[in-house]
Amino acid sequence: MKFDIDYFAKLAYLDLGDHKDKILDDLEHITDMINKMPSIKEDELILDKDYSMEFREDKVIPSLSRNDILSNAKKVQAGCIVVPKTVE
Amino acid sequence: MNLYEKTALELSSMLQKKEVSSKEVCNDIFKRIKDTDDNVGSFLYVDEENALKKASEVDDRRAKGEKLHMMAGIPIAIKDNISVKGIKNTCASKMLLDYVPPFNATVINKIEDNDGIIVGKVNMDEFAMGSSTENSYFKITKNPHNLKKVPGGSSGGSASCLASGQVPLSLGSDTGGSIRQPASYCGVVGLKPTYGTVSRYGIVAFSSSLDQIGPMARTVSDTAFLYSIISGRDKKDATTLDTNFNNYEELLKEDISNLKIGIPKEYFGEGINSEVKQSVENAIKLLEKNGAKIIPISQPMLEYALSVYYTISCAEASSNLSRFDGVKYGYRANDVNSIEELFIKSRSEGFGDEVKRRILLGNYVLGSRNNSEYYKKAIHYKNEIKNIFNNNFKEVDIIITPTVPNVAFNLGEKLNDPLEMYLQDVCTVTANIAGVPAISLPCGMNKDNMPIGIQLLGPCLSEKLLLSTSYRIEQLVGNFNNLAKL
Repeated sequence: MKFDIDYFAKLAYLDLGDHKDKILDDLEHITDMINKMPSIKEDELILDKDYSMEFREDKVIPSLSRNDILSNAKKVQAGCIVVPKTVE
Repeated sequence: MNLYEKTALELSSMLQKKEVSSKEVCNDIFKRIKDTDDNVGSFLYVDEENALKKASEVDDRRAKGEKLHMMAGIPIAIKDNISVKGIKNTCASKMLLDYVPPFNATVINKIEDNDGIIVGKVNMDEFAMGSSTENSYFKITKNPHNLKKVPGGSSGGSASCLASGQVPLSLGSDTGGSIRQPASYCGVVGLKPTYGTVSRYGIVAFSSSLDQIGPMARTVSDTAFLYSIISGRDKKDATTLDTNFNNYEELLKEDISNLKIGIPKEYFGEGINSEVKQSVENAIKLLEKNGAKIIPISQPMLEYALSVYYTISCAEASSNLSRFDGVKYGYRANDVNSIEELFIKSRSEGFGDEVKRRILLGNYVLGSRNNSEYYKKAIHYKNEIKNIFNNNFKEVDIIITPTVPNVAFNLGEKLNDPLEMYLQDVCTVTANIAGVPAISLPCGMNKDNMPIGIQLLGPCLSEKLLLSTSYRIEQLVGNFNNLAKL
């Protein structure tokens, strides 16, 4: 199957610019490698069985301060992150 | 002998006996870094001021008679995808050029609680995607044994800083071989632990079901020592397990007198360099002479293991890296007129080509157009690979293979052929897929004096057996703690 690079780049919010042709060529070789996985029938699938994880209690506990969390944002106002207008 | 040539345990003993101070150790380390890093390029950031401040504090407390952990005063370097509060964590990417974590990774808390000294952050492939450290946005790191060759990746800086004598300990991360392959290329020791034995809280996620932080050092004892500090259950990482690996001496004392070693034929066939094969086989023969039984086994899944690995890892990466959108942190593009343009420009300008390739592949294998066919198949084969390992370990105690089919290659040699680069992982990915522990040790040099690595794999939670066997190999093969001649 030909790799529909425009479709997948749109899904990934990526503009590949001048590198598009080279990346496409690379991905077609890489998907050839991925295709080496032998086919299996749906009823022969071994998927994950039980996987126990310990979840924490649903309680509010002290965490990071708002200032710490916002410290890496480019533009902050009134405790919120400023971004371009999203609603007309 | 200079202080920088000592192992961590040797330094610890000297510090405890007050033969040397932590400040003296750190000063020697920083001098070594200044003397060598313009050539090698291990470090992205060196935190000399804070490290010396911490070293002085440790010295004062020791002088007052306080009993300190063996780690107190020992310098360590950290891969730049592991969060250290207040120090940039770039993942070697333009996307995180200015990002400073407001919290420590759990492994960092463990090191700091035991008074370890963090000297700086070391170079890596961008977002841990690569096998040569050439994908770093910031700089090239070179192999200290030959400055025209790669150190391996993605934990290339973590390996090169050890081989150059810049630090005695480092932390790396391993998703498909990123600790073991650079350890092999640089002639040091690197352990990818059992999945779940080291907390991933605070590492920037690449592939959450495969990533593991692991210890790296120049000797097996130092590796076991660092592992004993960083391992253990963590409430902040629900995938961690209850383990009891906190006594490093116990980790080296497993009885290996009747060891059964499995040798899978698929790792020794066509494609393996003859000197690598010879060196690994020589190490196996030494173990056999010392009482181990060698049993041929088979791992037929090696043929499609890379396909499984790249399907799962890229699928998870495409999801994990969707958080980088220019909004809350990280690189934000200028001159944008809409939120969509913000996302596209920030991501396109912030990520390098290898990261973009893997995100696209991840979207491809997960996409509804393919009915998630690839991802479901990969999970099926992941479980099959686990079953094959389980069956192997019914017959044998450990499995031995080369870490990489070759020695370090030249800088620039594989940059234009990503698939050729991916083949570097062929011997290492199965351990990540199955979740089993695997360690790489130096087992010799080729005719050009480039290090060769031997890989040992064990059942889940068999770190004691792996480290004890590795310790025995170290005693038989010798010449560990072998600094590159810079």
